[in-house]
Amino acid sequence: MDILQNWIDERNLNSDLIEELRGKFEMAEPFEHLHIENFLKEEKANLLREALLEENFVYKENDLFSLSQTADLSECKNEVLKSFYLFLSSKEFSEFMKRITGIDVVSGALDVAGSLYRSGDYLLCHDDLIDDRRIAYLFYLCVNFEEKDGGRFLLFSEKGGKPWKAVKAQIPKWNSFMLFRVSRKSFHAVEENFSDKERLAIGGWLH
Amino acid sequence: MEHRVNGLYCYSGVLEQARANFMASHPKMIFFKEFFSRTFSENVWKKLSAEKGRRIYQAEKFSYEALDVPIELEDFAKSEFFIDFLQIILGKKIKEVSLEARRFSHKDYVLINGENFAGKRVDFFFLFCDNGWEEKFGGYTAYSKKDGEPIIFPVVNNSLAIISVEKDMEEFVKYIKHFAGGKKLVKIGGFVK
Repeated sequence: MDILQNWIDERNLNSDLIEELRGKFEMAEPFEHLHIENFLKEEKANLLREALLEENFVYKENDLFSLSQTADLSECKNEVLKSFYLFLSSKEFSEFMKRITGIDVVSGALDVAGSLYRSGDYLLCHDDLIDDRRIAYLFYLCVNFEEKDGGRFLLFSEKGGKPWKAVKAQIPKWNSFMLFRVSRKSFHAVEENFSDKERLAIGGWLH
Repeated sequence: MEHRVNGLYCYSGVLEQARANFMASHPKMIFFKEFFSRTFSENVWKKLSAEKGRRIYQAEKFSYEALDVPIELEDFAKSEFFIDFLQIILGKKIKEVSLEARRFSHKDYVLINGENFAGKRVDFFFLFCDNGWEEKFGGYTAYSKKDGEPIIFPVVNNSLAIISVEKDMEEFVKYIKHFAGGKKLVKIGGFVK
């Protein structure tokens, strides 16, 4: 089976939909991004969540954030996560990403880690612009988040090269895939988690 | 005797010990609890918590309310007592001090942003806050170097912190989390010339 078909819900591999997604990506405001619901096969998303919850999350904080993260999943021993890493590193996935974004990325050149935002955790506004990051991405594996819970992904408008205000707020829905072009405009944040729910995701950057 | 200040800090022996502690620490710093007299502290806090602030917000740098420094505190900071106090602690002559008041509540913060960084200097700040402030709320002022743990000054009502800022140190105020509810703190800080 094709590696994409193994992981991604077949509806998201439809050529017409891919073309539609590309259009949405290019026209998105305040900067190029996509939020695709029901992205992975449901059983794969469940397996990923179970596997990720077995990993060791290390709490980190500084002026910009309070959250917990796993080590890079390239070194992970869990079979499900290893398989997922291979999927993200594949030529097929980088080609898929090129089709929906128009952005060239090098297959295998990526960062992948699990993130966990518990009550009070947050990530303040920044643009991700470091080194050769091209696309930032997140697979949400959290359950039952609503607006009142916080933890939303905030996208900021830009004015004179600086973030202006949060103009879009994306609730981290179960089994959704969030991605955006890393640029001088890609100012974003993770709203504080006001709930006792755990905001779980796998994410990183494609280079 | 300076009636605005906790009587303990009017004794030369106490100040000499404070100076020794300041000089012996790395970086040089000191933290005074219950700095002002109770009456003075309560009057200042009443003014600071009631004052209408001006929202200052740049998402990638800071979020807080700017306040006018109460005249009582302005007068105190320029007083002979406080200048002498600082001179004893720092072991050097001081020409003037500057003051700025910022009020922080839930969702407020100051990030390390390069503009805070102004090279070697001596910072000081008075801190006032609502009762029951807990560490998990955030709101503390920290000084961070590229390597190593940050130096954190805890949020304690009626305190004074003094720190000799080294050239690669940067300051931030930790984001205040929802655990703080409606509680607030006011930091009245400045630097010494």
